[in-house]
Amino acid sequence: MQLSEESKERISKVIDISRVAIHYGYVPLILYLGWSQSTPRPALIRFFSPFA
Amino acid sequence: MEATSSTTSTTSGFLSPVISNPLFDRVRNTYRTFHEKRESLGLSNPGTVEKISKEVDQDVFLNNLAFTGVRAEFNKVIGVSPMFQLSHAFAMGAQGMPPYSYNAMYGSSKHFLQATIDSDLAVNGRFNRRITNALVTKFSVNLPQDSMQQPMLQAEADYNGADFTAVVKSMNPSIFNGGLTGMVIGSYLQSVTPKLALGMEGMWQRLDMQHPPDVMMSYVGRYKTREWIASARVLGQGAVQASFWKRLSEKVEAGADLNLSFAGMGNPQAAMMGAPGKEGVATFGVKYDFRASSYRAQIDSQGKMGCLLEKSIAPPVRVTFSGELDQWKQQVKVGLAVSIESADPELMEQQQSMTEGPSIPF
Repeated sequence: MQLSEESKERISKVIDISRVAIHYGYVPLILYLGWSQSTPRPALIRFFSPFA
Repeated sequence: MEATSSTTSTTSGFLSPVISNPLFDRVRNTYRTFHEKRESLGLSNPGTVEKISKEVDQDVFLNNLAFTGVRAEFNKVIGVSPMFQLSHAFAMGAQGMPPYSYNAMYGSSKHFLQATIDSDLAVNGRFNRRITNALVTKFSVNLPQDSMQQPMLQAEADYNGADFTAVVKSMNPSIFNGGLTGMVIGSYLQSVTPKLALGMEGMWQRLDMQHPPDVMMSYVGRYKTREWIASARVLGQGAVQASFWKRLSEKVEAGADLNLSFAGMGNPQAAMMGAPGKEGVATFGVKYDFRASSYRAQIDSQGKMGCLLEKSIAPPVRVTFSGELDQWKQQVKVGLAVSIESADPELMEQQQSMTEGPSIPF
């Protein structure tokens, strides 16, 4: 399958952006999901301190 | 069965000649008798091709468990249903382990999400989704901080039928290099009798367009009784792997594994490119399970000895000691890990009273 240079560039740009989004967004997403779905909602300090 | 056939034959409407013609009935009856016969065999799901020797490789042997250096792990169980766990891991002098890593895990009966970020800012993520009770899709991504390094993406679909498992996996698929490159693996394992399962796996790989694609086939078999499990894998390229697992007593399990490769013999080109030639490794391992501790030991024909001792001192604190001695290379690897688990006592009660549903798609 041959792609034109323009669409190739566009696709690689989309991939780059989604890569950055996953890199910095996936951990916060899981933390948000866990926080919002748990009952009772846990204190935020417990997310970041190993001792709390 | 009787009821459904009578209702379909009395169905009136413009589709009835299509549904109730003799040919269609015949096909449907054949399919139904085939299905009934298959069900009457009482076959169970055989597991995946990848985990065909799981009892030996993962439970008894310490290949995946051995480590070096000092590690400390703080695990926190915040929720049970839905599962929500966090862990902080610190490591010193460990091979290939960053000094600090943070792991978050979330699992419900439909989804499983997991991410690890370490002090080098590299991210490992996994996302699994159960689409139906039988079909699970899995994605995993590996993003190094350095953008020069190649990220890794893997997509997988597992279908767990009543008596078979089919898996399709693809790694780093790409169409940017002028054609399809990457790796695709398909595998199928079918229970033939309640004890015997047979299967095969095919791999297609093309690293770049300059080289022709590689295709590799392997055939597997697994025989399981209550006391012992034997499995074998034959690779088309010329390698055989056989493993045997046996429960010696209630607390003792033993496993043996034999790995032979004849890669250099049939294919002179592979031998010239530095692929491993004739080689054989035999490994033997034992696992003892005690009430609060477990002990694993293994020895192989390359002169490597290893042991791993896990002991839980108090219920939340677990200490693991790992040692490996290579007789021929004169190398010693030692590791010590402490893991502390914290969970509210209420959660423990919740866990026990949890209702059985479809499990988390790990």
